[in-house]
Amino acid sequence: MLSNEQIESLFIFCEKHFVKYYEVQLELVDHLANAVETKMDKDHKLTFEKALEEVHRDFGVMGFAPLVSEKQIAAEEQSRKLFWKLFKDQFRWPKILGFLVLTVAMFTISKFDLSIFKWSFVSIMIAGCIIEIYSVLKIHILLAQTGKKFLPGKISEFVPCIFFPFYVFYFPSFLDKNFLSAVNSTSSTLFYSILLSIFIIMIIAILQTISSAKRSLIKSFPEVFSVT
Amino acid sequence: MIHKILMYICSMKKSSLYKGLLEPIIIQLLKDNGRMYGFEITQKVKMLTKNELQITEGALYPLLHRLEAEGLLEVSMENIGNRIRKYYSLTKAGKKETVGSKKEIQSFVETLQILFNPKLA
Repeated sequence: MLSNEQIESLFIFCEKHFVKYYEVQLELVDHLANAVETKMDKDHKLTFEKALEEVHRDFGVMGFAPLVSEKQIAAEEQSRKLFWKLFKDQFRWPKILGFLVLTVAMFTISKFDLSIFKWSFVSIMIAGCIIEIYSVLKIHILLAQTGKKFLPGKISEFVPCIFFPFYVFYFPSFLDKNFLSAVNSTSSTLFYSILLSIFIIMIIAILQTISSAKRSLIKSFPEVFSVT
Repeated sequence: MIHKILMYICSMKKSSLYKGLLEPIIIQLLKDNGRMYGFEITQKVKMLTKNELQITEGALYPLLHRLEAEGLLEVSMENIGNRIRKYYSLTKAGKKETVGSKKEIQSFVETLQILFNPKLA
């Protein structure tokens, strides 16, 4: 069994070879330790450093790079899949009632007063943006406190991509001075009511995704997160 | 079953020939052994094939991570003294996948036998 110092040097070795994420480092360190131990057991004259060099060579010319990049892709895919699953869940019974109530409420407001409808839409979009920034910052702060880099930190790159169409295509149209005359029809107000309900449901799904990522990190790495 | 498949693949020797079979091999190994960690998988394959087949780390870990992202594998962490070990096991979806992949490999082996050894087929 390798000593604590040798295990520590394996973490440093991973860092030096551009393995920045703690999840990947943990798995690699265990693999390297097992492989080094096996080599040293077979050849008692072999030093730790020499055995590590041989084990690293077995990873091929690309070293740890394919492992890191594939893990990054897999983690991003996992987050995206979880988000869409949670989003779709909101359209299942009985959660769909929330969507229907929101849409009907917005549509009723539009029939009552288009100006209130417009400012409700703008306020919800701004509130949504603040909530997104806050929740992403919260997970970043949690991860930063550990002093380690984790893959769920990449959620901050994925969130803006999801909300990009809302803020680029629909938000500016609400600020347009001709907006009230442009949406003065049942079909267009219904369209914007549905759109806003979808936006709110996406915000809920993002919050659930971030919270699930946080729970999973705390469950998987209690030794790291218990001190934060 | 996994032993037979591995021995057959090893008889082909060329690593490129078994690249596409790595996924069913790992799924089958996890089905037979419950939970395993990366290094254990490489050693088990080596042992079962008497050192003929060696799964490289560069091929194994990206595949494990992909299968985990696809929901076929789940992971659990265990403290083993001075380091943490990541174990992989099949999810419900992964267990379902074993049935399909086993049939797929069997039919693949049979097809190859027809082509290369018609007497045995």
